[in-house]
Amino acid sequence: MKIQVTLNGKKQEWDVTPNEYLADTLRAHGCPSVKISCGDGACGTCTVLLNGKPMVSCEVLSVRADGAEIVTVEGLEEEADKIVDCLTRLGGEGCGWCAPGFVVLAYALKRELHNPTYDEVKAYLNGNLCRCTGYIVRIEAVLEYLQMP
Amino acid sequence: MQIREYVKPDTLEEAYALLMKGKANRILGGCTFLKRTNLKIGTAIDLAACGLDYIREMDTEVAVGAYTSLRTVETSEVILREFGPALRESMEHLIGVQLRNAITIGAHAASRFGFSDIIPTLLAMNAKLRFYRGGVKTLRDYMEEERLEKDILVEILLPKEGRRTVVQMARLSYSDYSVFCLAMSRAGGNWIVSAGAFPGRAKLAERTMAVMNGGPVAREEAATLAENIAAEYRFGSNYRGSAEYRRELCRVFARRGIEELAQ
Amino acid sequence: MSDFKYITKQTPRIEGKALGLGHPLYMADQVRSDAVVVKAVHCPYPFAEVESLDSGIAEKVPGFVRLFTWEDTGIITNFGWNYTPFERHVLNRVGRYEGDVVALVAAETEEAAERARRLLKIKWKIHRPVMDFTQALGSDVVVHGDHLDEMYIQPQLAGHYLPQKNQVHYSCREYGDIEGVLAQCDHVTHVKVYTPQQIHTQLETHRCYTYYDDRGFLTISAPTQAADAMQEDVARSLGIDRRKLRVIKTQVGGGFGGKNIFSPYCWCALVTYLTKRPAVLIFSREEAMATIGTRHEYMLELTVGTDRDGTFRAIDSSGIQNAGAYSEISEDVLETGIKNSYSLFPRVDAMRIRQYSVFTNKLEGCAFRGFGATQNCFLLNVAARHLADELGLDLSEVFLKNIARVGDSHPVMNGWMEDDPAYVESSTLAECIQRSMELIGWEEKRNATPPSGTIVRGVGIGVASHASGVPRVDRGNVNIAMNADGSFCVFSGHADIGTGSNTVMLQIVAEVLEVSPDHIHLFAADTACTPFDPGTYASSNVYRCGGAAKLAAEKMKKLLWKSVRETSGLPENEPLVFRDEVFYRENGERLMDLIEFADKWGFYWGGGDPLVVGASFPDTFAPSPYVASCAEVEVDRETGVYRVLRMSSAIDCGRVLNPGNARIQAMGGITQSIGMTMFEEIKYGKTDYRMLNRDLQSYKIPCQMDMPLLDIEFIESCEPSGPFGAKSLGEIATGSPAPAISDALFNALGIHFDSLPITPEKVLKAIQEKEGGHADS
Repeated sequence: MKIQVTLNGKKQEWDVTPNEYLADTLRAHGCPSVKISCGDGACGTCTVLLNGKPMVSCEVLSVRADGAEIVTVEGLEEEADKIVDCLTRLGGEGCGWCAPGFVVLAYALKRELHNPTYDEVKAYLNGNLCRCTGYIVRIEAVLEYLQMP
Repeated sequence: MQIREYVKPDTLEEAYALLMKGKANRILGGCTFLKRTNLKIGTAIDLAACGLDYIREMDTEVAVGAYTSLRTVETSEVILREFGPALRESMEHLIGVQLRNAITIGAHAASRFGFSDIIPTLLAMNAKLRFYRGGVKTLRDYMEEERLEKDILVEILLPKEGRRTVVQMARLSYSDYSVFCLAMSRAGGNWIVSAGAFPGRAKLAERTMAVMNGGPVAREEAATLAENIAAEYRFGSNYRGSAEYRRELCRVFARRGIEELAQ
Repeated sequence: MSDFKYITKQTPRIEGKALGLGHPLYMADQVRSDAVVVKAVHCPYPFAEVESLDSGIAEKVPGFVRLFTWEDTGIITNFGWNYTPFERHVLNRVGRYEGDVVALVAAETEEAAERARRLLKIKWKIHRPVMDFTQALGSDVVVHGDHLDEMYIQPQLAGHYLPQKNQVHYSCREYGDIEGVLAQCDHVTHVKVYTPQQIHTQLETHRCYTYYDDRGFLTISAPTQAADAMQEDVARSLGIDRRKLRVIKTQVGGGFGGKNIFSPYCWCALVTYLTKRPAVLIFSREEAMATIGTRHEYMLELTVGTDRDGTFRAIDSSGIQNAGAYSEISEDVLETGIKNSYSLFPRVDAMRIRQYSVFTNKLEGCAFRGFGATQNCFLLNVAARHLADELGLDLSEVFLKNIARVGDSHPVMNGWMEDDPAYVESSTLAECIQRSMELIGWEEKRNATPPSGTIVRGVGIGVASHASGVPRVDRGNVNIAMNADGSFCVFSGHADIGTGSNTVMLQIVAEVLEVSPDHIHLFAADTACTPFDPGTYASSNVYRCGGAAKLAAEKMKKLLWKSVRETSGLPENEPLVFRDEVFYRENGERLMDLIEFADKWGFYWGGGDPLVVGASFPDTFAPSPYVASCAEVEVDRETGVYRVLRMSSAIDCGRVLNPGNARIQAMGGITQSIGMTMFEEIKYGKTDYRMLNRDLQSYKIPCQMDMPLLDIEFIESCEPSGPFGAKSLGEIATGSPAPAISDALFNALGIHFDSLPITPEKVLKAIQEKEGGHADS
């Protein structure tokens, strides 16, 4: 069926089946940043903003995105640059697979939490698994990002 | 999982009619478990347009719409003020913000998941469920029902009874499912004790509750009562823990809960 | 150290920005839309063979392309290096573990392939499996009993590899008179440890993309840890000329040893080979977890004999390693695991190590960060803790008394030969021990009054050693060429698997050439143009490949300077100054920059031979890096639930070439080890032996909230054989957390936890046993 979405600021019409998940649909529509790892919401690598909220796109039926605004790393522009700079300065991108989803989540954190503590940042970022970095530099990177104008 | 057709009705009336139209028709929740099932769904009914995403405070209760996400519930100031942090604590181990934004509280409760920490907590909070057709029933009754009628869960009602609720869980890692979960609450002389992840579907410790509700509970009785609470459950073993370990956790959590709430 | 310009500096990864922004660097981002989708057909039982396979209905699925079975593959092979036994075909009629692949389905779309796979009618003949590896040796269930006659066993393995007895390998090393020395010791301690199967859980699952290129080369584009070895293996498995096969490594979304098994590549290549069509195979999470390898499960015992003051005199160890259903590189893990760990305590009069590796019907073991040393280091640490307890000594003193020091030599050490013995040439382990203790606050915490009450705390310590590559086997090879634009290109076979080794290679070359990394390109792990590399394993990239990069860069520098003199008409010994990438004469006269040189030398009117050099770096002694870690735990004595509050690690990896990368390597390794220590373990059903936790909801890896506070410090040594004094780092950090955490629990509770993972249930049980009843009664 046909659905209308606004993807990274651009209106689009997609033809999707009722059995399709948003992560796959996004990948098919020019968003290679959306990574799929666990396929069941447990790892966060497919995180995108759906109507402003971070969401595991591998668990969202594409049809349900009808009328929605979707933002991926491809659409974050300068904010993504800032977060990625903080992350790479510390080596926090690791193998890179979890990085784009993490960037989206870090951006969501900045919009959702005001002056968060270290522990609040840590808890907010929990849903994004990483097997490389040991997480700590990722918190450091986000704390740096939060200081940026 | 396979869906033949997807529909997003504007009213619950339409949704209910669609639901009753075919045996394989289903109401969609947050869909975070759908993929892992072998369900063959005829018409998948999305209630997103039916206005069920709300937390409404009323005089005697707080109503939480069935399509409210766990994330909305855990960050609700109303719920924190009226009921304390237990409900949030029962949710925050569910992996991440981006998953809890997807899971809806109605679908989670309606599922009667055995691994849930949220359901025992809602039980201890004396929650009620309002169904489109079946009206209001207690979560406790719903958990015990043998054959569920096809219906639509509209909202969860949390009664403002001045109840203090505590929830205790043990897990192997932070975002794993619990090995065992015990929730307990007290409002005046009225106690509720519920356990989940033992590993069966959550239920109340009815017999011991009757004793506790029959007279004042002293902190010194905690160990004995805890023993009785543990005796009410048939614990099972799975790869997260043995029945013996769960029984031990139940004893400790029940005793600690009573000690905390008894003053 | 401050005179370095590029190495030792925090340098972001060259591909970091693109990764963070989600650019299409990975294999899945590059697959052509006309590729057929391949799905593997897995054996649903631990041990079963296909009696009949009916694909009649499956073939009617629209878009079905072809079914592939054992009938399509007759060649006996393995899915790894050619020095390991050939004991399977690309597809096998017999499934030897649940998840083993018996057939493949190819279809035009993912949905069609999935449907066709489900519609295959397979009749299975189920065999009784052998699951308990301690009972496997000589069991009446012989995992490979049905096809012993067709195996190829390399001559050097004969006598050790006895599949008829389920024996993969037997290693026996004996140095000195073990019985005699043990008999003279003041004190003898015996311990037994168990370590579980752990899954790599790379976030990018195993996958492969294959196609014929325009010239007819069968091309594999995939995340792999070893392009050259994989090329050899796939060519051998398909029976084709290796030169007609090209392997291109794509960005790797996590390796940890698990992308050194070449099965997915063989399966996917088979489809392209037989259909001539591009093909793509991407494992689901469940398939990745249940089909590829694990960290080897071990049961180990150790007797250590000491003087009264805790000085080790004799170490006698025995044990069993679970290889799983195929031997893969289990023999190597067994031998290397021994060498890398027992080198930690070389100052003993006698040492004996006897270990078996056995077949079972469990998921096969393969390389996993730590490579057998993690398990053996845990054993050695546990033994030291027991004896410190028995002798009333502080465990850190026992370590300081016995650890390897500069100048030590022992035949168990890597690369040791009678006529060319190995020596410890660099170590700061003693300082590492002291520093990690300071960081955790050992003095006040370890010796605090014995804890009482429900919530108790304790601190503990662990030490570990590893190696830098495989001695006398591995070589690093690097070619460097100068380009027409004045930039350089480094060609290396090594595979950056997400650790940042590409960046370090460039830092090294930049340092030697005195040229910015921005003016240096890198081609890595493409069999069509990069020199041989054995693969990314054994923590060897920086030491071995970095070593080669340094040698090659030195050659290039010499050649470049010589050519500059020549083209400037200066005599051969004329001193030159190279500053900010511009050449000057000593009197300050400006000669040329690199672009001008390239123009003069090789561009149109030039005529000089292209500047191309190559160098090889032999790994002779694979010097050991060392680590000491301390942990602080908090235990709820009534529930057994505990948390690691804090960990400190001090590491000797020689000179740190990229501090950011180094810190990530250390922290990531520690995190994986925390998972193994506390909860990671494959669980099998008690009666059906099915693997129970095979997705990320049920097999948990540590998440952000599981992490303790971590203090990492590097106490640098200068390894004379390493590039700029560097040793390895990739695996060392996995060795010490498990011992440190179990020692912290011992300090908190007075109980030894010698079996991993240490779950809350085990803790509570042990507390209750110690106290002789319920904790709360």
